[in-house]
Amino acid sequence: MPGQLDAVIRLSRPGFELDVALAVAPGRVLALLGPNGAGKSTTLSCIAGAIDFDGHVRVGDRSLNELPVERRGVGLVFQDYLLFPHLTVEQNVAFGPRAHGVDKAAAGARAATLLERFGIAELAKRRPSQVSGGQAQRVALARALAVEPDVLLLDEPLAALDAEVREGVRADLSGHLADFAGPTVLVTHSLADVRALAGDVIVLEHGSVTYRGTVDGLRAADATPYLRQLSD
Amino acid sequence: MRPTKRGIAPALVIPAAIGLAFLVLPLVALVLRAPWGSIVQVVARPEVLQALLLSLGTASIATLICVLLGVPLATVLARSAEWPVLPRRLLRALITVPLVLPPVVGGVALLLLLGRRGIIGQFLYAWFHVSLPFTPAAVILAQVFVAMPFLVLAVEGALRASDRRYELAAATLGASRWHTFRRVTLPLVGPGVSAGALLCFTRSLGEFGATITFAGSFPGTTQTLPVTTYLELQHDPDAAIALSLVLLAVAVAVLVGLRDRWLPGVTG
Repeated sequence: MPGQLDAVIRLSRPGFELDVALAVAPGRVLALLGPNGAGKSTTLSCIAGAIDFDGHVRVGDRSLNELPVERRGVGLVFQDYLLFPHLTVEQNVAFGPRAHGVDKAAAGARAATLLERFGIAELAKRRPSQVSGGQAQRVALARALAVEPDVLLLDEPLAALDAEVREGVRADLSGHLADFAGPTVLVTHSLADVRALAGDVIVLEHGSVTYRGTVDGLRAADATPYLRQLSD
Repeated sequence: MRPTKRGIAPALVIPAAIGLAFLVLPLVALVLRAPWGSIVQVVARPEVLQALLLSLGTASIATLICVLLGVPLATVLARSAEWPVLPRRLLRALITVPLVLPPVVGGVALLLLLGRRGIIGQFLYAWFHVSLPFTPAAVILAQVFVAMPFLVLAVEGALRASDRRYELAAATLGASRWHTFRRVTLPLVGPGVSAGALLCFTRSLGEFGATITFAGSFPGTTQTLPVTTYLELQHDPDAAIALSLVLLAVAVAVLVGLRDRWLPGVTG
């Protein structure tokens, strides 16, 4: 049974303060929207366990604070996907199950099933350098989902793509997110991504929350110049 | 595009040319004076063949040891960037010392540690009746001592140049640190490890000072190719030249094998 993601993150670095609290119900997608340097990706890194911070991260009644990255059950799709360049597409997707001790044949089979579901079965034997950006994005998502994470984090999943393919990949991603039973946090600086993919939104500016609510409510938000620019 | 219009100042070109000549001309002399007609006979001599095989064998084992110990050491060194300044600099200095130390000093140091009356050697002898000096094992230890820094620095350079976020990606997929190291980190720095191992092998093959000090020059057991070359020079210069050519050929072959990868962390 997937649980709700609750996180309170406070971080103080020279010249940068981050203070954000978020709660995402299972099956919901929360967008973290904001300009560059607002602390969006840092928030994801904190949830994933890559950065130390003050506060807490919980999934359901399970605290993740003391857990190392590999035991958090948090799937992370990076902005540049970070597919392992020395492995084939299928091996990339099978990597997580293999790391969890699943034997080679079963992990390969699970990868093949996922690639099929993502419509990229024909790429199985290719290297990451031999697939397009849109394909790499699907592979990265399949790889993250292969270990059935409790929480899914997406860091600018469409930013690396050309405008022509972005629409298609976005529609695709929307379908896959709808299938994911756990909470999802999506970092983006694109309002179009938020509208297409998320139900709730938090706007982060300079490490502070300036808007929290529904995507529709964003239209009326005008507390900061950034928010006014969004609602135009 | 970088600006390429302006050439290099003549004041630099002339010393550069002299420098290059100084590096190349001795090797040209070696090739010009080579007894081409008798090289095969010289190399086929039993004692030379023996030295050649001993050198190849010991250098291979030394390289293997350097990889097994040096890759983990390189990993620690690469990650030491997060340490306080003092231990970080100390670690790097300790690893670099054998690079700048005269090899003969390394040989003396090895004797004092592992010789029959050495700090550790006395116990090896008393408890296990093992005496390392003047054995093929001593040849290998001398080679490891002088060659390991090459491997460590090459692999460390590759590790520093590699994107550590791949390790984070592996961790988010549930991979333990050991699994990540074996399946992600190591394959990603594979070219650096190969380059380091090749440098290590060449350095081991050419080892002379530490070897002759710690292992001596007993034909068949510790008389490696460089030692044989030096000894031959006293009474059969042609043989010494022939052996030098063999060592030069190996060095050139390694250089070709490395292509542009011989600088730590740089791949071409």
